[in-house]
Amino acid sequence: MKKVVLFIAMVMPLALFAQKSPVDKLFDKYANQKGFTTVNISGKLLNFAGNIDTGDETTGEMLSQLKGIRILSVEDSVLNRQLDFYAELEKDGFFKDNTYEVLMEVTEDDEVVRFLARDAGEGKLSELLLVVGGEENALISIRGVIDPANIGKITRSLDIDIDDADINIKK
Amino acid sequence: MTMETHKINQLLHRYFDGETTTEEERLLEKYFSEGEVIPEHEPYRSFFAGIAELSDVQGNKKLEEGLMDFILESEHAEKKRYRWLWQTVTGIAASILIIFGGILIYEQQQPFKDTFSNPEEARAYAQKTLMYVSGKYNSGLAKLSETGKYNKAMGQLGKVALLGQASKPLSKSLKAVNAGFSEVENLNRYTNSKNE
Repeated sequence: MKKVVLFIAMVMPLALFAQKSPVDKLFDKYANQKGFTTVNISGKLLNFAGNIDTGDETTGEMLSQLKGIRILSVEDSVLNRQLDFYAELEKDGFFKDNTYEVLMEVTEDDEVVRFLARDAGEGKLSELLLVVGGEENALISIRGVIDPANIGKITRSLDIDIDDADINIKK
Repeated sequence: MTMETHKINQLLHRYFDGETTTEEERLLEKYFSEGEVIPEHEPYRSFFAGIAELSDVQGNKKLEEGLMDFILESEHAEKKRYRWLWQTVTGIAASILIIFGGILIYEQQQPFKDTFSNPEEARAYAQKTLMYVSGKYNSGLAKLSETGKYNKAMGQLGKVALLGQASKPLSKSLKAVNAGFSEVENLNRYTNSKNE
């Protein structure tokens, strides 16, 4: 009995001080604030979504392997100019703990998209994080088992214009 | 010094060192109470007489037991009180920790609320997101491969140039070899025609 109590007493502080990742902190910080839109899709729902038969197996398979998608985007133009998620993550020591690797940076006219990933071994990723900066700011976090080879395949397998897939988000 | 005095001396020594058994103590008491004490032992006589008197008062056993019980009980009660205090404090601390831990674990397991309740909407949105990601990913890769192709092409160009340079001396020597071969052939023809 004493040993159990002691064990709990020793483990609990660890759990208590197990800090949230800087990404989660950012999401928590800006969720439900004015000018921000957050979209959360749980792994469970993605699993259902992946099983919908649409004849697109690549996407379906990929979706059912995901544990969650979180998106934080900035709608307000003033905020957009002020914010820099990348700088905020950097300030939070995000790049010091080496759990994330920088995959690549795609720079286009008025936009910088940084691909960060957590390695799951065997060439798979356990989390893909997109930090979009520039004129529009957004954070996209995709968790689960991600095969980098499949990411590229999605646009090739679907010839739908992104705008066509636009849907309204219920806030 | 008789055997007995010697023995008594030894016993006295051990008595004052606190090493005697009850039997030996009784023996000493008996010795001093029986009156035949050598002058050497005279100073101890009154002492042992007193001791013997005290040990004679064995009567009130109940009182003794009662006292003992009281002492033990109060000791026990004190221990119990401390234990009770300790248990309460640790119990409270443990439950606070467990509650906090539980909340934390619960939060970690459910980091967010679903935005969608309809899997089809979720799929549409997820697909849209994935396509955005995929688009960026591909354009990044395309840029990478453009530079990659360029580098490759340059490399190959360089190789071709090198090959050209390297083959110059080769072609010279080849010419010489060829010339040699044609000489040999000519010779052969010459000898053949001669034989005929």
